[in-house]
Parts: sequence; structure tokens; C-alpha cells
Amino acid sequence: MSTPRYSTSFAQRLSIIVIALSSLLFLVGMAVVACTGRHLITQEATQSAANLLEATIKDVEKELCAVEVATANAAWLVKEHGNDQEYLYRITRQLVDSNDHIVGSAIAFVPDYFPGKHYFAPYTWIDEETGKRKRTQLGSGTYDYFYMDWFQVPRLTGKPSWSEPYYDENGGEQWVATYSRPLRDADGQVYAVITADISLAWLSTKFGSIQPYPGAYTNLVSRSGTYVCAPFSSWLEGDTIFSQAAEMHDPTVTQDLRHMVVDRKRGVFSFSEAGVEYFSVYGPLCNGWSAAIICPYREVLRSAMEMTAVLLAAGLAGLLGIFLLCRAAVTRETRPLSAFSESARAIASGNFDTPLPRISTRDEIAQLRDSFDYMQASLKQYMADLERTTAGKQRLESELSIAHDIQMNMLPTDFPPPGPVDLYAGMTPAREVGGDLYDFTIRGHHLYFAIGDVSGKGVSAALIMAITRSALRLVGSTRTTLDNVVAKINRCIAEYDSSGMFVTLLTGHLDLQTLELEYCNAGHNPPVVIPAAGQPHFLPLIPNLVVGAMDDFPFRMQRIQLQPGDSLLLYTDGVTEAEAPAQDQYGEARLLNWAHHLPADASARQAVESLTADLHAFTCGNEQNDDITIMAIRLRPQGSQA
Amino acid sequence: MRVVSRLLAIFAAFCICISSACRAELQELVFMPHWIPQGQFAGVYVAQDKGFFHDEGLKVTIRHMGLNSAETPLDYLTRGQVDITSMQLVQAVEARAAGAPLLNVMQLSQRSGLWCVAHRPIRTPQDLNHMKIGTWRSSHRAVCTMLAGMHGLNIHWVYGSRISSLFIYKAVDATLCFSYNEYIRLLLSTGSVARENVLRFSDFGYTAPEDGLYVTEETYAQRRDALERFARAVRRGWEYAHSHQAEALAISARYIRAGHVSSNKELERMMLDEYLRLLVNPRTGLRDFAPVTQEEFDKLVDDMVRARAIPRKVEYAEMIRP
Repeated sequence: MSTPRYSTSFAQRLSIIVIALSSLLFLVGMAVVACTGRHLITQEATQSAANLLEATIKDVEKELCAVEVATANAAWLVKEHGNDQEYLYRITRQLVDSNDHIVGSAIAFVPDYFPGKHYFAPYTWIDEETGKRKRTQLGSGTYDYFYMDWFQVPRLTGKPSWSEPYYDENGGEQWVATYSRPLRDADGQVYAVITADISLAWLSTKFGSIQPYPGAYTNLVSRSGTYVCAPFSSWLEGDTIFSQAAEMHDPTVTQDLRHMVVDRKRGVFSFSEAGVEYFSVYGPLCNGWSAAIICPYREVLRSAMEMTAVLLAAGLAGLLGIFLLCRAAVTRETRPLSAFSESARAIASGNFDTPLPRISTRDEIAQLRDSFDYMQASLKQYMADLERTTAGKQRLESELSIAHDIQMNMLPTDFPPPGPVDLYAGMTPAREVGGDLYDFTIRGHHLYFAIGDVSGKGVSAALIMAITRSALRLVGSTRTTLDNVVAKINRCIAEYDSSGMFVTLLTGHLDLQTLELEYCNAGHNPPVVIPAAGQPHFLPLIPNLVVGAMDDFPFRMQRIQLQPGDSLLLYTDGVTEAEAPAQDQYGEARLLNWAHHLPADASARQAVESLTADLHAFTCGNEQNDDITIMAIRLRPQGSQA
Repeated sequence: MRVVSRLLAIFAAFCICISSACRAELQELVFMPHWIPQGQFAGVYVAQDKGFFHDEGLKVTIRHMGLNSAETPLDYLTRGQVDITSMQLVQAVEARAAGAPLLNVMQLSQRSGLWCVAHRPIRTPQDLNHMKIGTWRSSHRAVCTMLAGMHGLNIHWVYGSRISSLFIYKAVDATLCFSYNEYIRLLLSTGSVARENVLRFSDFGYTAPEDGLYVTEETYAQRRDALERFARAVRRGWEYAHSHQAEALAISARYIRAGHVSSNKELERMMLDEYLRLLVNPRTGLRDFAPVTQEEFDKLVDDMVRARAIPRKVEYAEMIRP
């Protein structure tokens, strides 16, 4: 027998299971670590960005506050020297000189404040190219400052204010924002506005330098949401934070931006732009503007993601290592199993002396080795016993075969030639030897016949059969009546048998001239009489007792007159008790039915063979459980010649 | 060979002469829009940029007024410093009633985009009573007088240049605005404007069409042909702007940058979109640049007279030249 091939080894399968479970646990662990780490790092980054923004805002507010204080101080001088127009220029010059961020200053009076002067606004500014201070008079048909935000808003509200960023066309020719402070007269009416223009360049530099993470940037927006400084080059110089948000088509971002710009609150929000996730921390400035730091999550989480990638790679490498080590260890530990497999195959092929692998451990493998060892010894012993048993059985079978031949030879097969009577019989034992018997002899015109059945089967029944048959021959030769013959056999069997065995026996004497039949029954099945004219029927029997049951039983004999052409069928109970697969018995009714359909001219041999065939048809090959013996006697019909 | 050279020289000289003659035929016109550079004038910018004026034999100069200028395009027009200007119909009627020899040679906007936005809900014009409302300093006093007069309101008008800023800084309670300009600026400055805080005057009887092209009677009499060609080129410019909006925005952006005007892409996109809507004639559903009808004109003039925004009635035929 060839060794089958297995696609996956036990070690590999076990290793895969171990690695699968380990991978699952590892991935769950990694997911928990990654999520927790991401949350903590984001939280930390948000707080860090908020602190950085707050610090920057405070720095800027400090500078803006300095501008506001300087302007407020100058406002006091205007009130003191308001009528000295030359001094007003000096005030604006001093204001520009007092603060590095102030690039221009004006004191703009309301229309016609000074008689004959519709516009009056002394203005000093720093020329960006030369760095020199220059002065001029603002206000003309092309520069109608009365309607400009920096003048109009403080005039209308009566409060200082920071303007929107605007391009200073008539001054420094740069983008500036103006702090304007209204000046009131004794009646509380605003008569002038003093201003300080600050360059937006330093604000851009200040906020632009904030970059807590690569890719992070800062927004500074005015009260109208216009970018004071933005990290991108604008399509036009007037982008608002809401115009940028409009391109994102995300209403929640607009809501968050309203919270920042309109409500002027602090906060944090997340958004996505061009497929990149960002978070933004924002807060207000004292001048009404708002600032925000925008950080891309991927940069914030880059180190964490790198760490996760390293951990993941290390984990996967570890898992691979575990797999290989596990596979090697399991292979090493289960190597004896392969050796056991080889040994088992060798033992199974009959080599009981095959050596088993050596096991140095004291574990289950050692137990298995002991079990194999025990099994090997047991098999060896069993096979030796089996050989002895088989030899004995073969001897017994041989002896039984001989006994079968002897038994079969004890039954007469020299059936009489065609004459006044036609006789044929056959016996089929259920085992090698049986307990049925039949016999016949013709002396002159007298036919003596007998059929019997020993209780039980096998060798014991065969021995009793042999005794009965010998007794029958011995007693039958003494020319006595049938009842005496049976009685003598009865005593003989009763003397020999001590195991309670008995014999059913029917003996008969047919006068072939008168056709008178004498018969004596000892508990045997009733023979079937098949008359030449009329229905088949059972031969009337006195029951008597079986032979061997009671040594002094008085058996009685019977007589009946047969007619030419009549047939007599004798049989043992193996016929009527033959069983079909459904455990139905052949039975006497079926026997009579068979006899009814037996052709009238059938010979004794044909009758025996016909009944045997009918029995085979009935049992359908079912195992024969009793000896079957059939004897047919047919008288020559009237007028026919031998 | 020498014959061929001579023929080529004669042909070159002929081409030069023809070219010089063509250049000599270009008529110069100076156009002044009535506001700073923005998408509201995209049709004119496109006509200039795509050579539509040149195709009409015109050499047009576009001259913008400054945001902070105390003067109006009308001042430039009456002084003869510009040939054509754009103007709101109501402004033009006010000027004509005051004696300016103005003529409407082309009506651009066909609807009213005049709205009002407040810091609190305004459902009817009466809600504006006693409010401090921002409005444009440049010749919109007649509009204010008429609106107040039509609805019997007592309003404190605050005139300014960037009136949206006055509103954002809460220097005013409400502000007039055009749907294509200041309203969008407010929207992009605050993120949203509550619907109940917006009042559309067209819902309350003020439906006068707005922007048109104006010249003096003298210019009309002397250069009528050039003006017609100018109008054709402007119309072609707007048609092109409608079908090539991205290109029109890019062309407008160059004028806006040159004027150092604070604007942005979204604002200009929305402005062009809304202005193109106002160019659609509600009667035909087309951008046909139809002249103001006598019925519309007379209703506007009557409203202005009733509100004492103008001292006299101006006749349709007096200033409309379809």
C-alpha cells in the first residue's frame, strides 16, 4: 500500500492557526494603540497650536496696543494745539517716528472745520523706497476722505476702530490698515480723526513665521473676513475667508468661520480641502480681526503614523518569526509522530518486530510510544494465537469434511430402477454435517423406508444420526413389525443419549403387490400423499412420541391402502421451516400447494428436484438454518409398464 | 526677376497704404464706467480685450473713476473729458431733470437689483423707518429721496464709498445694496445673510431698470454712428461674456488688479452671474438690450416727481434714443 501524500503538515496548520490568532490580537492591539495615539496626539497638537496662536496674538496685540496708545497720546496733543496747523504736521511726524510699525499718520478734520478749507488733513508717511518721512495734505476731488472707512466709521460710531486692509494710493503705495481715533470737541461732536497706518508686511511676516508643522499655515483676517495675511497667492487682492470656504461647498465650515469672524470666538474645527484633512484653531484679536492656525492632520500625525508603520512592520516581522519558530518547534516535537506513522505502517504490513522511535521525554508522546509498544506486543500475541486458531480450525474443517463425506456415504443413493415403485431422496445439511437421515431397502415385493431428524445440528446431531441409522439397519433386518423396530431404536437412543437429544422418525413398509402401506410415526412431520386422482393431503398420523425421549414408550403402527399412481412425499422440518428473507416460513400450506401443482407424470427424482427448486425460490438465497431431507415414492400408475 | 521684385514692392506699398488708411479711420472714444473696476462692466472689458471695438472701427479708452473721488462720471461727461459713461437710469433722470443734456443710447440692465440689508428683520419698507441706512455717495440721492418718498419714510441716510464696510462695522443700521455687488460682498464677509434681513425693492413697486450707456446731446449729434458701433461692440462683449464666463472673469480680473480693487474670484463669479441675470429682459426672456419702455420710464419719472426727488417731469423722448 502506498503512503498517501498530505498537502499541509500538522506543524504548518498549527502554525497558521497560532499566527492567525496572534495576528488578530496584534491587529486589534495595534488598532487600539493607533486610535488612542491619534486621539492623544491630535489633542496635544491642538492644544499646542492653540497655545502658539494665543502667544502670537498676545505679541501682535501688544504691538497694536502700542500703536493705539501712541495714537491716543497724540490725540491729546491735537486737542491742545489744534489751531496750530504746522504743529499738527509735527504731531503726525512724531506719531510715525514713535512706532516702527506706523508707516503713516493723518489728522483728518471734518469738512470746513477750518474756514475756507473744505479738506484739511495733514499727513506724514514713510516713503517705502527711500525710507524718508514725507508730508502732504490729504483731501481733494480725487481723494475725498470724508467717505473713506478710516474716517467715516469712527466718526459715525464715535469709537476708535481698525479699518479693513486697503491699498494706500495717495501715501505709501502699499497695503495698509488704519487705526482711527475720533476727536471730540467740548460739545462731544467729532471734529477730527487721528489715524495711524500700519504696514501689513510685518503682520504677514509675524503670522507667516508660525509653522508648528510642515504644511501648516496661518490666517489673519479682518472683521469683514478679508485676508490680512494668507499663505497663498490670491487671484485678487481681496479674498475673504468665506470666499475660500465657498469653493469648498461645505456649509459646516462656513458656520465655523462665522463663529470665528462674526462672533469673534475661540475654537477648533476640522475640514477637508483637496482631499487633505486639516484642523484649525482660531481666536480673536483686540482690534476685531481674527487669526487661525491651520494644520494638516497627516503632518501632525506623521511621527505617530511612522511609529505605527514601524510597529506594524516589527509586528509583522515578529509574527513571521513566530510562525517560523512555531513551525520548527511543532515539527521537532511532532517528528516522533511521523516515526510512529512509519512504524505503524510497518507493523500493519506484518513486521511486528519493527523498532519504535526512542522518546526521551515523559509526556503524551511518551505515553503514545508506550501505547504503541503495548499495541505491538498485543498484535504480536494476537497474531500468534490467530495462527494457532486458524490451524485448529483448518484441521477441524478437514475433519468435518471427512465426516460430511462419511455421513453422505451412509445415506443410500442406489435408488431402485424403474419398476413398480419409483423412489428418490436427497439430504442437504445446514452445516458440514447434519442430523437428518433417510434410508430404504427393497426385499422381494416389500419396500422398507424411513426418514428422521435428530434434534439439534452439527457434530452431535450427526453422531446421533449415525447411531439411529445403524440401529435402523440393525433392527430393520430382524423381520419384526414397524412399531417394534421404532420401540427398539427408541430404547437404543435413550440409552446412548445423555444430553436430552431425540430423533423424529417415520418408518414405513409398502407391499408393492397390494399397495398396502404400514407406517409408524415417532413425532415426525406428516408425509404428503399425492393421489393419482384427488387432492394432495397429509398422511394421517398417530403422534406417538419422538425417539429417545422415553425408553419404554409404546409406539403404535398405522396402515393405509394406496392406489396405483399415488405418490408419497416424506420430508424433514427443514422444508416446512425454511425461511424467506422476511422470516416467513415455507409452511405446510405452501407444501400442499406445491404438491397440487406437481405434474401427474413427474418422477420421484423430478418431484424432489421440483420441491428443492421451489424452496430455493422461496428463500431467495437466504441462509439455510436446518438440514433439509426430501424423499419421494411414486407407485406405478395403473396399466403402465416398467 | 526684376519685374517680380518691382511687383512685390508695389504690393507692399499698397498694403502699407491700406493699413494706414484703416488706422486713420479708427474713431477714438473714451468710456467711463460709473464705478470702480469689477465684473459689472465685464461686457465692456471683453469688447476691449477681444477687439470688438476695433472691429467696429473704434479705439476705445476705458477710464475708471477712483473709489475715493468726489466727482462723478457725469462731471467728466459734461466737461467733455469722456464721451460715454454708464449710469443708473434713476441717476440719469435726476441729472436730466437738473439740466444735464444726457441721452440714453443703450439700456443694459433690464431689471432692478436694488436691495436693502439690515441687522434685524425687514419685511416691508416701513420697517426701514427711522433707521440709519448706508447708501452710495455718488449721485444716488434721488434714489434715496424717491424710496423714502414712495413709502413715506423718515430715514437718516449715511453716504459712503464702501457702504458694505459701514454695515459690517455697524456704523449703520442697514444699507442699500445691489444684488450683484454689495449683497455678495456682505455674504462673503459674514458667511451668510439672513433672508428675513433682506428687502428687495422690486417686491414693493420699484422695478426701474438700472445700468445704461449715456452721452451728451452734443456727442450724440456729432458721433451718432460711432456710438451705435460702440453699443454693438458692448452688446457683442456681453454676449461673449455670457458664453465664455471664465474667460470674461479672467479679463475683468486684469482691470481689477490694475485698479487695486479689493475683490476675489468668488465675488466676481457671483457678480457676473447675477449681472447676467439682470441683463435678461423679463418681457422676452432674452438678453436683447431692449430700450427702456415708455411705460417704465414714465412710471419712474412719476414716482420721482411725486417723491420730490426731481423738480420737473422728464419726457421719454427727451432722453431715450433707442
